[in-house]
Amino acid sequence: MIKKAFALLLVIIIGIFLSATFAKIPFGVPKTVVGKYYLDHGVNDLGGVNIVTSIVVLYRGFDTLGEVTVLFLAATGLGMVLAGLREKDEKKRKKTAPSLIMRTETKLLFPMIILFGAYIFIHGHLTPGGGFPGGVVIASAFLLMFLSHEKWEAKEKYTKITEALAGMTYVVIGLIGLYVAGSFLENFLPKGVPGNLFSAGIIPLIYTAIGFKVGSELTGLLQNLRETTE
Amino acid sequence: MVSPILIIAVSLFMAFSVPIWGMLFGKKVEKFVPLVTFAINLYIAIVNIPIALQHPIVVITAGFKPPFGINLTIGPLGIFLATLIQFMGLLVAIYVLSYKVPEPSEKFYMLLILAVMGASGIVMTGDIFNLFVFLEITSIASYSLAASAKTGGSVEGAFKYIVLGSLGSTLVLLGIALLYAQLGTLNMADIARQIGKVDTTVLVAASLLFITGFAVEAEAFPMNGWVPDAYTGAPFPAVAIFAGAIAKAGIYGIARIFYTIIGAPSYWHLIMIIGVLTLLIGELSALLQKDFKRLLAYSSIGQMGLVLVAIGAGTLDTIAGGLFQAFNHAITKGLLFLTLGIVVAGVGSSNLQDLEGLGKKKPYLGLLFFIGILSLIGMPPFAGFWSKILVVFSIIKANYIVYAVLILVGAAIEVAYYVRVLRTLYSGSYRGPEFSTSFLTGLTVTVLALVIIVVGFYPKLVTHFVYPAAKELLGRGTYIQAVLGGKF
Repeated sequence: MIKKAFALLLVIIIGIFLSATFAKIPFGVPKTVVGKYYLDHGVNDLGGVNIVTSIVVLYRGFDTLGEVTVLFLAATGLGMVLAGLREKDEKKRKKTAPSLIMRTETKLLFPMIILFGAYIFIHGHLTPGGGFPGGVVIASAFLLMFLSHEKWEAKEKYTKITEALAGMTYVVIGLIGLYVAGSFLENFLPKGVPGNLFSAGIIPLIYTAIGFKVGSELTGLLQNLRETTE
Repeated sequence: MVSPILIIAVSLFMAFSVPIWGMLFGKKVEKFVPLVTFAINLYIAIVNIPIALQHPIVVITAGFKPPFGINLTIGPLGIFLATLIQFMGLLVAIYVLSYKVPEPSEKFYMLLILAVMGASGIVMTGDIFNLFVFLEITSIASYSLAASAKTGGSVEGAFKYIVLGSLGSTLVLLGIALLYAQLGTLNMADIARQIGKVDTTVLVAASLLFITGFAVEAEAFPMNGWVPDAYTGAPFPAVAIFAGAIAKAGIYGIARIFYTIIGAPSYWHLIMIIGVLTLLIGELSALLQKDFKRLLAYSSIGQMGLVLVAIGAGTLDTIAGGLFQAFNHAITKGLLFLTLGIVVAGVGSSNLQDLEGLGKKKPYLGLLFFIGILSLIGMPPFAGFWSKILVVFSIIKANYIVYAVLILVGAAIEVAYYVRVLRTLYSGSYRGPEFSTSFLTGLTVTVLALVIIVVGFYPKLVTHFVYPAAKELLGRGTYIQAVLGGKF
């Protein structure tokens, strides 16, 4: 009881302290130096009309490579911890078989969802979205198949290979930048006409790699989780 | 010149490619991937040492100059720690060639590479948000490594680490957000240049958030509750990485933020207070331990406390001493944990009772423990002697007599429990099962013991690096100028 009261008190003190701090920070004032530079020069520098994408993939591309790694680590770590648990977990859950409607419908939807995911990451430099959401959409198509077809599975071999190749492609694109243009992850392709599909240099290439990587990673992760509950 | 950014690129490429090698050339090849990666990285780090000692290396990414793009800034401190981290990584990679790693082994190798990469990224980056990204990489990799043994204790340790680690990362992120909201830039040199413009309340809040956040990785009180359990549960190669690479990155984060970015001496005293508490609590807890691995984990906390006290004292000699101590901590704890790993693989327990008489039965392993322990408690002619004496004398010279006394108290406690360990190892008769040491694991620990002895006779090998590194921390103008150019 005393412990809980003490914890509550601590949280309240930290809360007051932090809100007093945040009160000092003006809200909505356009004054950030770096942000302003990105807005003013983004399209000219890189040729991508989606400025968010330009920031994510080029200006702060090194961070994005890091974020891809974080996701990769989360999936790998989960795989590490879950491996071997399947044999131990003897309790099998009861489940109702998916209906005919669901089985038929998902088969029709599956390719279309994948196509939609691909559309999102290929058009990352033009429209909202990009590699991460595109990859998640693709993984959701696989999730739908896992739910509706008990025997259907994404072979671990293929997800692993796709993931590895996509990750390596991302690093290699960065390295080509280092040796052709002068710095890691630098754009080495023509910028093209802003607004066209073939524009914005390496952004679509990187987003395609990320789309494949995230899609296969999350599919592998779902496959891992599925095996432990069935 | 080989760009230091290749350390990151090579690590990532190799980590992603582990399954490909396995599929092309068979499962057996996978275990050589970390070895190759760390060997290449160590080479890259070593060829950059002379350049970084002359002048900080600034590497831009995506072709944008700071503060608009992300850059790496590698001065003496960065290159010293990056080399140390890759060296520890290489030794652990040799060790795992003949050590039974948890299954699935390919994932273990990927995690190993990425944990080390994250730690090297932290010490090399010049962008504060990028620092956070690498902090996330290294901590998520370590959580999984801590859980990889998949025993009850290992999962418990990993869970504590996850809770504290994610809390710590969140606090660091909040601190970064506060600074960004005030200055509109994420480049560390740019923030350092304009730190005077930040409101005092905001700066105090950000400092507290940073020190609490990085305290998790630096094993500092009160955020070190994960250390004993995670160290005890994790496989030995992972523990060597925790002590040799990740704790160093945590210390670097604190030093870089409080010296280069904030640069106000009034905060440094806080580091000393936290350090001395960490030191005493760590050593006192170690005194009570009956399990050798757990004892080493608590002793590790104590050592990191000593590093923090020295770094917080804020003179050239104390910071150099603290960094020297950090180097010794990596090497010595690496030696002790990896040697214990060989023993536990044979004996099946790290309980001190079961190790009775081991030193007589296995004279060579006993000798390695002996060297490591004597270096830890600061006996000449081993490396630990020089760092401890440098820390104590420089802290007295800086007029922190009370702290010097408390450090000596900590050192006395340390002597007490390590003498107990040595007595156990050399008294009674060994009753456990027979076992043999494989060549590669033996080679790894021998190299570490040799480093301790060689540095013991030629401390200049390390002071050659730690003094320029300490100078870099105290001379923030040089750092800012190297990145942004112009006069500061």
